[in-house]
Amino acid sequence: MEIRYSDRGVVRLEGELNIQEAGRLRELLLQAFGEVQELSLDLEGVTEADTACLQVLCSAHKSFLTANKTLTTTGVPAAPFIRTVDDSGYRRTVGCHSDPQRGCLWVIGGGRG
Amino acid sequence: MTDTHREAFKEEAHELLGELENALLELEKTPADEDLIGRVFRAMHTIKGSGAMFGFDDIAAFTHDVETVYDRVRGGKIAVTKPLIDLTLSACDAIRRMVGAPEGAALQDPQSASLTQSFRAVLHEQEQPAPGAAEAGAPAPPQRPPEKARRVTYRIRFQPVAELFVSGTNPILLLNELRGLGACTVVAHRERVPLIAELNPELCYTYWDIILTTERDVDAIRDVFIFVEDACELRIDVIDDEGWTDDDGGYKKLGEILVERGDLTLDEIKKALGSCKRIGDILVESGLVAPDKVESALVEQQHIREERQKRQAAEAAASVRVPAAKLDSLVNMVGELVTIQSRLSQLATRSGDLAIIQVAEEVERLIAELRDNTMSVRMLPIGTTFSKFQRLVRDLSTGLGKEIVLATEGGETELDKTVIEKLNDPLIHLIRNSIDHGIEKPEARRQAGKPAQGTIRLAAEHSGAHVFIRITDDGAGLDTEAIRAKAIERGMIAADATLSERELYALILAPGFSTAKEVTNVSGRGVGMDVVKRSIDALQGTIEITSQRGTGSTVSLKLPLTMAIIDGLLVRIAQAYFVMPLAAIEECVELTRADAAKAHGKNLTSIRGQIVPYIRLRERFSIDGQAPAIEQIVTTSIDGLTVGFVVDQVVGEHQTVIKTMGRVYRDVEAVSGATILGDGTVALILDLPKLLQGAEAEIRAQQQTGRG
Amino acid sequence: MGKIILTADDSASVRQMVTFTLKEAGYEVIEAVDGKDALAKAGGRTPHLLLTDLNMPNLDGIGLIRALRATPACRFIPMILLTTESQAEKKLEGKAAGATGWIVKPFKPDQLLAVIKKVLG
Repeated sequence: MEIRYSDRGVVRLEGELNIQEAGRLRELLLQAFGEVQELSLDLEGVTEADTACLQVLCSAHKSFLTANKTLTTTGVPAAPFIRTVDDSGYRRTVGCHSDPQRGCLWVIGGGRG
Repeated sequence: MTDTHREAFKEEAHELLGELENALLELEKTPADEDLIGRVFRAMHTIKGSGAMFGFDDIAAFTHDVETVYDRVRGGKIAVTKPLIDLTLSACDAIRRMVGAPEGAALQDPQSASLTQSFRAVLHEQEQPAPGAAEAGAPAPPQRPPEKARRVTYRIRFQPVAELFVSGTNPILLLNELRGLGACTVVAHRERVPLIAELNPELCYTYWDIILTTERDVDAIRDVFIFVEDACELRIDVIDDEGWTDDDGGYKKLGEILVERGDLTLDEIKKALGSCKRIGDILVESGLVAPDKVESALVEQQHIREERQKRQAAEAAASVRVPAAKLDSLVNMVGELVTIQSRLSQLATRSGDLAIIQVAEEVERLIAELRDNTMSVRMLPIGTTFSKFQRLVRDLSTGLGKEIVLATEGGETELDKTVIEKLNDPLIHLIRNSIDHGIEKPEARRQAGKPAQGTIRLAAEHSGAHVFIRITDDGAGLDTEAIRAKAIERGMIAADATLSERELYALILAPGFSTAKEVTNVSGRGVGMDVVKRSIDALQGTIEITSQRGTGSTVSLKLPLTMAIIDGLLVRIAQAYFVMPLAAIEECVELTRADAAKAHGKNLTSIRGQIVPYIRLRERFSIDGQAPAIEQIVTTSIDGLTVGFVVDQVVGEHQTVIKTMGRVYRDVEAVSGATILGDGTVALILDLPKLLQGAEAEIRAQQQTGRG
Repeated sequence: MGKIILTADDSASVRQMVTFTLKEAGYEVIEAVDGKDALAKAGGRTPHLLLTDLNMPNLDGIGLIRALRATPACRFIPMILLTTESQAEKKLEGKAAGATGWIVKPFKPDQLLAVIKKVLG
C-alpha cells in the first residue's frame, strides 16, 4: 500500500489494501482522526482489497461520524475495490443510522460516495 | 495418471520398503523404540497414500491394515512382538510383489489375503477387551434416494470467530463459492466493528446473512464452510421452497423476518408498531435494531419476492389452465375427425387412386397422433383422489373403534379426468366396506394372531389400455357360507345350486345384497355393492372380488384409460351395426342351425364341454328377416358368468369414439352410446350387463306367468 | 505471474505429482522435502499458499504451519495440510496450529486444484 498526501487534504491510497496492510491503514486513519476535521480518501489507485481493510475503513467512518467529523471518498474507487465491496456484502443502499445525513461509505456511486 | 508418476512411485516404494525392513530388524532388537515405530508407521503410511494416488489400489488396501496395526503400536495399544515383526516382514515382501506386478493385473495373491487376515486378527485381539466399542464394519446408513432438484431458498447466517483471518481464510472466497451455487444475496453486518481506536485490524468483526436460492441440497452449502465449521457459527434455514404452495408472490413482513432471525423480540416489534412510520425506519431510529439487520431483512424480502415472481412466471409459461368444457369440445371434434378420416380411407381405397390413398394414409397417421395427444391432455394422476381417503379412513375407523391405516401406491397413475371423477363414489363405498365389514376390531385381530392395526391398501397401475385399481384389506375375508345363505334366502340362487367361489363373490354385486349382521352408520342401509357395480359398468369397467377367509379380500377394478374412446368389436345383424366393448369379450364361435336345434329350443350351446347360455340379439332388438345359416356367438364374461350374444356377422375390432345419445334416448336400456362408422352409418354401443339383466328379468317374468 | 505455492512432502512421487498438477494449472511451485526445508525456502520468496504433508522427518506439517504463522509475511496466507482419514485428531491439531484447510489422501489432481481454488481464489 502506497500512501500519498495531496495539498487539499486528500489521502490517496494505492496498491494492495489487504490484511497485510490493515495494520498500517489503521495507523494512518487513527492518526488522521486525531489531527483533522475532514478527510477524503482517493481509492482510484487500489489494485486489491479485502474484508479486513473494509472493516478498517468502516471503523474509521464510524469514528469520524461519532466525533462530528467527515470522512469521504473522492472520485471513483478502482474496480477491484468496488468488487470487494460488492463481494463482501458491504454495499448499502441506505446509510448507517449514526450518520445524520444517512450517508455511508458504502453507498458507492450514489453521488456523494 | 501418467506412467512417469507410476514409475516414480515404484522407485520410491522400493526405497521405502528397504528402509522399512531395516527399521523392522532394528525394532526387533529394541521393541520399545518410539522413533523406530514412528519410522515404520510413516513408511507404511506413505506407501498407502501414494499407492492409492497412483492407482495401486491393491497396495493401498493391503497396506491399510498394516498401517492401522502400527498406528495402535504407536499409541501403545499393541506391543511389538517377534511374530508381529515376522508378519510385517512378510507384508513387505507382499508389497514388493504387488509393486512389481504388471499394471492392471490386480494381484489375487492368496498369501497377501492370509496376511491381511493375520493383521486383522492382531487388531481384533486388541479390540477384544473393549466389547462396547463400535464395530468397524457397521452397516452404512441406507442411502437416501437422490432428491429431485428443487429450487430452495436458504437463509444462511455465517458468524466467524474473530481469528478467521489468522487461519488464512478469506471470507470473500467463501461468499463467492456460495454465489456459485445459485442466486445469492449477501449482506454484511458491521455493527460489531469498533471505533478505530479500539480496532484490532487482524480480527474479523463482520458477520454475514446470505440468502441463497439453489437446486443443491443443504450439504452442498455446508461443504462451502467445511474448513471453518468449527471456527464459525453457521445457521442455515430454509425460508422458501419451490414445492411450497402458499406463494402468492408476497412474503413475510420485515418484522416477522427479524423476529424469526432472533434479531428482535415480538414485544419489541409490537411496541415499535405503535407509531405509524415505516417499520424499518422506526426500528433503526429507535436503535432497536442495527441498520445492517434491517437492510439484510429487506434484502431477504426482495430476494424471495423476485424468486417467487420468477417461479410464477415460469409456471405460467409451463402450464395453461383451460376450462374442462373446452377440452370436452376438443375431444368431440377429434372424435368427428376420426370418423371422417375412416370414411376418407374407405373412399380412397375404393377409388384406387394411389395419390389419394397416400394422402388418406398420411391423414390417418396424423389423426391417430392428434387423438392420442388430445386424450393425454385429459389425463390426471389419481393420487389426489387417493389422498382424500386418508382422512376418511381415519375418521371412520376411529368411529368404529378400529385401528386402520390406508396405504396407497401408484398415485401417479394417470386416468381420464371424467373417469377419476366418477370413480370417487365407488371407491369411497369400497373403502367403507373394508372398514366396516372387512377389518375386525383390534381385539378380534389379536385373537386371530394379526396385528391390532389393520391395513387397507389402495393401489393403481397401468396395464395396456386399462388401469387396475385394487382395494385390499387384511381383514376377515368374505364368508362364503353367509353369502350362500343370504343368496338362497333372497331367492337369488337355488338351495342346492353349486357355485364356484368366484360366482359366489359375484353375488355380492347383485342388487340389494348385504351380509353385514348389523347395519352401521358407515356402510349405511340399503345401499349395496350393486351401486358400485353400476358405477363401474357405466365407466366401461369390470369388477372382480377375491378373498381368503381370515386373511382378507381384494376388490379389483379394471377401467379403461379413457371413456371417450373404447376398443370395441363391431358386429352386424341384418343391416344394423353394433359395437360390443372389447374388454368383456372372450371369444367368437360359430352357431349353426343344427347346433341350435340340438338345444331343444333352449338358448344354450356347448363350448368345449361347458354349457353357455346365449341371447339372440336379433330377437332382443326385434330385427326382421331371416338369420343366416351360420351365425356367430360372441361369448362374454359378465359378473363371472359366461354369456353368449348371437349376431349375424363379426366385422372386426373397431376403435370407437363414443357419442352420447340425445336426451330422447337416454332411458333406452342396453345401449350406452353410439358411434359413427366410416361410411356414415350409425352403430349402437351395447351395454352388455344391462342386456343380460333385461333378458334375465324377462325369463323370470315368463316363468311367473307360466306358473300363474 | 502465477501465484507461488510452497509444497512440502517427503515422498518424491507425491511431490512430483503435486508439482506437475500445480504447474499445469499455472501456479509457480517451490518444492521442499520436509518442514525444515520449507521453512528455509519460505524465507526467500513469500509464497501465496502452503501445501504441506503431515508426517515428515525433521519438522512435521503441524510444526511447519505453526512456525510459518509466526512469520509476518506468511501470517495470513492459506495453509493446506495433507492428511489421511485415520488422522482426524491431527486435523484438529493442524487447525489449532493455523491450518486453513486440509486434503485427505489419496486425492486426485482435480481435487487438489479444487481445494487450492477454494482457499486461494
